[in-house]
Parts: sequence; structure tokens; C-alpha cells
Amino acid sequence: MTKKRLLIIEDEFLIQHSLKKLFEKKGLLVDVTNSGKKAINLIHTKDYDKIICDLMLKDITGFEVIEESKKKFTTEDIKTKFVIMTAYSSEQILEKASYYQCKIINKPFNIFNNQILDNFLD
Amino acid sequence: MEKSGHSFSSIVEKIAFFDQINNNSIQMKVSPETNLPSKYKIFENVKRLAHKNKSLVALPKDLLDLKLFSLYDVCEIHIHKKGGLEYKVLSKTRNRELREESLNNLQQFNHIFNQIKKSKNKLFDGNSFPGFTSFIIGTFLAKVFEFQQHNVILIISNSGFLYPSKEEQYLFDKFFQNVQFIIESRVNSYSFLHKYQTLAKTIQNIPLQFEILTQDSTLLFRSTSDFQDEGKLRSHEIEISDNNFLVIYENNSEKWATDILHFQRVKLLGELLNTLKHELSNPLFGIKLSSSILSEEVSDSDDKKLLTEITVNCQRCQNIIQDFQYLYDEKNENVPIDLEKLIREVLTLTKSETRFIQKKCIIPDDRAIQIIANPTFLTQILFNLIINSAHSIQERESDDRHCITISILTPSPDKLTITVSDTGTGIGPQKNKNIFDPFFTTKEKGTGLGLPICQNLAKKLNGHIEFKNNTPLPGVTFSLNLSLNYYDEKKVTHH
Repeated sequence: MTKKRLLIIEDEFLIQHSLKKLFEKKGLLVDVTNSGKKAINLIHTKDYDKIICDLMLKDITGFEVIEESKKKFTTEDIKTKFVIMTAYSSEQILEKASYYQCKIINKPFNIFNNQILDNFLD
Repeated sequence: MEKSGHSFSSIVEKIAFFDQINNNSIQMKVSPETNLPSKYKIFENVKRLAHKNKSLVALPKDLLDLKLFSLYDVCEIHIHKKGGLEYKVLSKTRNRELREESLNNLQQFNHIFNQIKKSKNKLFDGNSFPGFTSFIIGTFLAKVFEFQQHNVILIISNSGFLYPSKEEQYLFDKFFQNVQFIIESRVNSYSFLHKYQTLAKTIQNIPLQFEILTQDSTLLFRSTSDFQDEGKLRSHEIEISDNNFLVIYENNSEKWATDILHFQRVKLLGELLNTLKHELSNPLFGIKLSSSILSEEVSDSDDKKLLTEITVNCQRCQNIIQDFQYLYDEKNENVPIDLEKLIREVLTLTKSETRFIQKKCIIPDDRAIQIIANPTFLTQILFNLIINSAHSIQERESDDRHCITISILTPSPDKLTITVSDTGTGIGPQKNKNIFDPFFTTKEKGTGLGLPICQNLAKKLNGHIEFKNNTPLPGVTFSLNLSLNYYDEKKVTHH
């Protein structure tokens, strides 16, 4: 069985690193990046099963990453592959996220709640 | 309301001075004026004009009424406020009402102004400036004045076709040399009045009921004509200048100043807290995540303890940030609240302000009291009252054992009172009427908005706040009295 590939786009190093560790423990192949632009490159060069994407990145927003990946992915792909992770869940953001129909997970979350991690991977 | 360089007393002084010269000249040597009929005595006429009212609009008539100008029947005054795009013309003939108009041909005004200025004998006739004067036919005498803020052209005519005599020219010139200051003062008050009227009209249209009163309650200004009976309305006084007060009446509709102020404050704090939340909670979350993962991995029990402690402390910080969010949530929702828990949360939030002060929370029979209310409003009220108590205690600077006591009282099933009692300075008798008025404050850095906002929030919770100095002193007790539709008590199982 081939391992699932995961991309984590998150600019807070500690969060990025911790999530990488957790998902590797679960047996996934994990790539990480803190930049939206690098993430777009990675998405176009590699094939990921899941992409966990923070919204407030230092260079661009997570939504821009999703928009850019439309060149490669269908709407259905975007819906299933992307998981938006955000500390800001204002109505506008929720509305915008619902446009892509992908999953939204609010920060902070409790990592010892196993469901949460599975939630990322569903 | 007059704004001019010459006060009335200075005018009187000046007249007295002229009189003296005049009289001296009569006594000491034979003046050319002494043989003239009294109407030609310039200073007599100056004095007369000075004693008239000070309105510019009345000036043409006042001039025509002087004995000096009894043979003249038209007077025109053109006034241009420097920098203005228009100039005003006041024209008066003996048998017609005054005409007041605004004209905008400034080029013509300036041209004529200069022509008159340059002219030596100041004699003109209808052909001199065609189209410039309105009522004047025939010859006229003209003079220009260059005041600090205005250029003025003054014209007087006897509607005749013969030019005025040398004597008349002399008297005209002499007279206006001496009344310059009177004219300037009238021009200034005219232009000030104009400004004042515009301002008054603007103020009158502000949709707020207010009055300006002097200290002895004389009414200076009232905002609207359909003034509601102020006796029934709550009012707020603001001192606007020495002895003058602005009294704003609370509108009957609930839109009240504190509502706006509260909204602004919450909005500002909300923005601030949002930024703080985002800037702090993300890194905190990172620390918490990594410390908890590491604590699972290390085997050394000391390290494990340390890492767990980091995780727990991060959680604490997160909770505080979350509580702040809760505190300034603008959602107007009633939810079930565990009152004791809420009070403890508020006490946590006030920790830095109440350091070194003992805090007590008294709950009847150790019951857990659940109420349905808006937690944001309730938290804000209690937060404010506790901070006020802390400030009042700090102000007293005594070594007493200080204490802030929060008690819950349930006098009847639909009534609940939360009291915040302190051992501070108390409320002096001169302050106690005003403490719920906006902008009233006794603190050096206070905004005077805390208590009015609290009172307004209490109103929204269907309650009110009152206070009483403690007996025995020291300190004061504020009570938040709530009439709740519903509250639920449960026996405490554990705490």
C-alpha cells in the first residue's frame, strides 16, 4: 500500500512542525512549507492526497493558493483535497470557504482528540 | 456678541476726546466751525452716530438722520469681506425701505473701490460708474474704507445735478475720517452676525435636544422649538465655558449618547482584541502543540513535568484570550450563565488592577445560580464596578486591610441583586447626583463613561444600578438589581 501524501502550508513553525510529526506518526508522507508561493509550486510538481492550508500566510492568502491550484485540480479535487485551517473564522471567511466546499478546521484545536486528526484526513 | 476692535467704552473715550478738542477750539480760538449752524458741527454728529445702535443695516438710515446729511436722500454701503466671493450692498433712500442684496461682480467692486480711492475730490455722478449704484441719480459723494477684514465703499447723494460745495466736501471728508472706527465696528458685527446666524441655524437643525444655560439657569440657547418637557427627561451637563453649561437631554427613543459611545468603545476594543487574539493565539497554539507532543515523547519525569506545565500554561493564556473575546462579544444574546463562574472569570480579568486587594465572593447557601442573561453585558458591568472599587481603594492610600466583596442576593424568585462592595473612598455627597452622567469623572484619567455605560447596559438587562455608601464607612456598595424572567438554582454537587 502506498503511503498517503500530505502537504501542510502553515507559517507558524511550531504548529507546522508539530502537525508534521503527528501525521508522520500516523504513517503519512508529509511535506511542509511556510510560503503560499512555494506551496503552489509544490502542488503543481507533486501529487498530494490532502493539503492542509492556513489562511493567513506571510506572502499570500490560502484562498489564493486554492485559486492557483485550479489549473491542476477540478472543483471536486479542491473540495476533497483541501482542508482550510484558520484562527479567524469570521462570516466572510466561512462564506468564502463554503464556495470551495472544502473542510474548515478552527485553530486552536485539541490534538489529543483523535477525531480531529482523522477529520483532516477524511 | 459683538466682535470688533473697538469696545463701546473706547468709542466713548474717543468721543470725549473729540469733544474736548472741539470745545477747546471754541474757547481758545475762533474755530471755523463755531459760526456754523449746529448741524455742521462734526463732532456733534459723530457723537450722535456713536450713541445709536450698532447695527450696520441701520447705518444708512442713521447717517441720513444726522443733521449733517439732512439735505441728502440716498445712502449706499458696499461691503466686501476680504477673501469672500460676494459683496453686500445696503441701499436706503429717505422714502424707501432698506434694500439688502448680495452681488458677485467683484471685479467691478475692486475697480470702483480703486477709482474712488484715487479720486481727490470724491465727487462723482451717475455716469461715473454705470450700473454700479442702484438708487442714485445725479451727483454723489463717495468714500472708501480699508478695514482689517473688509473693504467698504460708502456713497451718499442728494440726487441733485449740482456737485456738492467745497464746504460739504470738507464736512463729508472730515466726518467720515472721524467715524471710521464706528463703521468698522458695525461692519465687523454685521459679518459676525451673519456667521452667528448661520451657525445658530445649523445648531438648531441638529437632531438633539439641548440647551445652553448660565450658572444661574438663564437660558442662552435652546436647540429645537418643539422642545419636550425637560422635567421628564434625564439630562447631562457639560461645562462649556466659565459659568456656561451645555445640557443635553436624553432622547425618549433609546438612542442615547452612551449607546453610541459604548458601541465605539466596544468596536475599538473588539478590533484591538481581534488583533491580539490572532497575534497571540497562533504562536500560543504552536507552543502548546509542540510541548504536548514532546511531553508524550520524553521519558525523564522532570522534563515531562516541565513540558506538561508549559502546555497547561498555554491553555491558561488561551482561555484568557478567549474570555476577552467573550467579554467584548457584541452578540445580543441571552444564554444560560453560571453566575459564580462568570464572577470568577471577571475576577481573573481584573487581576492586575486588584493586585494586593483581597477579593471575596459571597453566594447564598452555596447554591449554583444559573441565570439567563446576556453574559457580555453582565461581564462588562461587573468588570467596571470591580475596577472602580480597586481605583477607589488605591485612592485612599491607607494601610487598612482592603477588600472587594461581591455578593449575590436573591430576595425573590424573579429578582437578583449582585453587589460589589469596597473599602475605598466612597462617593462624596457632591458627586452622588452625577456619577451616572456621561463625562462626569472624579478620576484624573477617567473618561466618565464607565458608569453611564454600565447603567445603560443594566437597562438592557432589564435592571438598574444603584449605590450606597457603606455604614459604617469606609467604602461604597454598588448594586446591580436585575429582574429576571427566569433563573434556576441547583444544589451544588462539587466545586
